[in-house]
Amino acid sequence: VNVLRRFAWILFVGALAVGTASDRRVISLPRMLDGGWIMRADLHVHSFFGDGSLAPWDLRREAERRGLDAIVITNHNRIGTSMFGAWLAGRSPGPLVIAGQEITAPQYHLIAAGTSQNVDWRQPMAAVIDAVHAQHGVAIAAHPGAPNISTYQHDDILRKIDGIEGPPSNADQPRAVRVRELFNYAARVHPRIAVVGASDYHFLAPIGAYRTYVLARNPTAEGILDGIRAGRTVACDWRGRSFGDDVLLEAVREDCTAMGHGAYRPDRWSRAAVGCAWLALLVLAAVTGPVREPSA
Amino acid sequence: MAVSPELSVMCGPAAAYRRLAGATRQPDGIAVALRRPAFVALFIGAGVSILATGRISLATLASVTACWSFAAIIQTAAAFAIIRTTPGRIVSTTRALDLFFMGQGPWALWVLLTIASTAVTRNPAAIPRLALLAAPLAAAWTGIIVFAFCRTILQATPRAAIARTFLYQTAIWSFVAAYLSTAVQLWPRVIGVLGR
Repeated sequence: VNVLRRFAWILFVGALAVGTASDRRVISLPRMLDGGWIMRADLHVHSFFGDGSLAPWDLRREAERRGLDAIVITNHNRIGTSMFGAWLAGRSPGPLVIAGQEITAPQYHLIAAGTSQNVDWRQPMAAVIDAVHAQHGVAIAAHPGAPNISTYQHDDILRKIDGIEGPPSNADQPRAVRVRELFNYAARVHPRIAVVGASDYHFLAPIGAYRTYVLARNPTAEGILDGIRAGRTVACDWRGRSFGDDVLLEAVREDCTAMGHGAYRPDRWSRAAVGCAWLALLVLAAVTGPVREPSA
Repeated sequence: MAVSPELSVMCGPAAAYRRLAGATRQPDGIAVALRRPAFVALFIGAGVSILATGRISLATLASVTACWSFAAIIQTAAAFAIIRTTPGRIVSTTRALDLFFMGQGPWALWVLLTIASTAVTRNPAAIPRLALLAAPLAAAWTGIIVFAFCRTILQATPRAAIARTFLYQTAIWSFVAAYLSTAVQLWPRVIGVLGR
C-alpha cells in the first residue's frame, strides 16, 4: 500500500508537470473582413462565485485556449463578478471580458451584455430590455426554449431585443425547431436581430462549444456590442454547424467546422496528463489513502 | 491491516473504524487533523480543473483549489461540530477529524466517475444527468460511513448516531442548497413554476 501510494503521488506530480508544460499560450488574432474584425465570442458564460466552476481569470485563460476573442460573464442577477473580471482583463493582453448578467425572471432569462449595474428582474421584459439599453448594453434572449418560449412571441419584444440564442439551421430536436421558428419570425419583425451561439457554460468543458462570430468595426467590447446590435453575427455549435448573416457565414464556415467535432480537444500530452492525474487520484482517494497510516 | 484505511472504511466502515480506534499508536496534532481535509481540497481542485478545462496545470489547479477550498472547510466545520458535541469519543478531536475524513471515498469515486464520463461522451449535456443519477448513491453511502463513525469513534448510542448523521448531512446539504439557490437564483424560478 505504501509503495502504491508513493507511486500515485509521483504520478500526480508528474501529470501536473506535464500538464503545465503542455499548457502553452495560444495567441489567435481575429481575422479581418470588409474592414471589420471577425471576433469569436462566447456571450453566455457563468463564473465562480456563482454557478460557474471557474473564476473570471481562469475563464479568460480557458477562452484563450479555445481560440475565443471575447467572453461575456453572465451570472444570474449578479454583475459584481463580471465587473471584476472585465476590470482585471483590461490590465493584461488576451481575450476581452465583457461585463454582463443573466437576468433570471420567472418567465424568461435574458442576457444583458455590456451593462455596469444590476438590472432588477422584477419588471416586465420590455422594461428590463429598456433598462439594459439605458446602460448601453445589448439584450439577448437566453435559451428561449426554456422556461417559456411564448414570453418572446410578441412583436414589441422582438422589435426591442438585440439577439436570440438559437440553434444552428439543421438541429432537429423539437425545442430547436421551435427556437428556429421563433428566430425566423423575429427576423421578419426585426430584420437586424442577431443570432447568437453561446455555451451557457457552468461546470463542464468546453467554453466556446457554442459560439458567436461577430463582425465588429473594431476589436473592442464596444465593437462587439455594435456588431450584435447590427445583426452581423453567425452562431456556431459544437458539431460545426453554423447559422446567421449570409456574408459572414461564408467567411466563418470553415473555421466553425474546424472547431466542431472535437477539434478543440487538448493536445496529446495534456490528455495524457489528465489520464495520469485521474489514475493517481483514484489510487490516493479510494485505494491507498493520501497519507501513511501508522496503525494500518 | 492489508488494505488502506480509506478502502476498508468504504467496504466495511464499522469494522474498519473499530480496528483503527483499537490501534496502539494514534497519530495526533493539528497537522494530523488538517492533512486529509487538505487532500480533499486538493482533490476537489483537481477534479474541477479537469472537468472545467479538460486539463490539469499548476496555475489552474492552484486557483481552482483556492476557490473551492470552502467545500472542505465547511465539511471540516460540520465534522468538528459533531465530534466536539459528543462527549464519549475514544480518540482526540484532531484524530477524530482525521478518521472522519477517511470516509470521503464515495464522493471521491463520484467525482472520478463524472470525470471518466467526460471521456466517453462528447455531448456536454449528457454528463450532468449521469452525475445527478449517481449522487444519491454517494450521499447514502457517506451516510452509512458517518453513522459508523459516530457509533464506533464517538461511541454514540444508535439514536444519537442517527441524529448526528442526520445533523451532519443536513448541515452540508443546507449549505449546498443555500449556495446553489443563490447562485442560480432559485426564487424567480420557483415563482415561474408556481405561476404556470
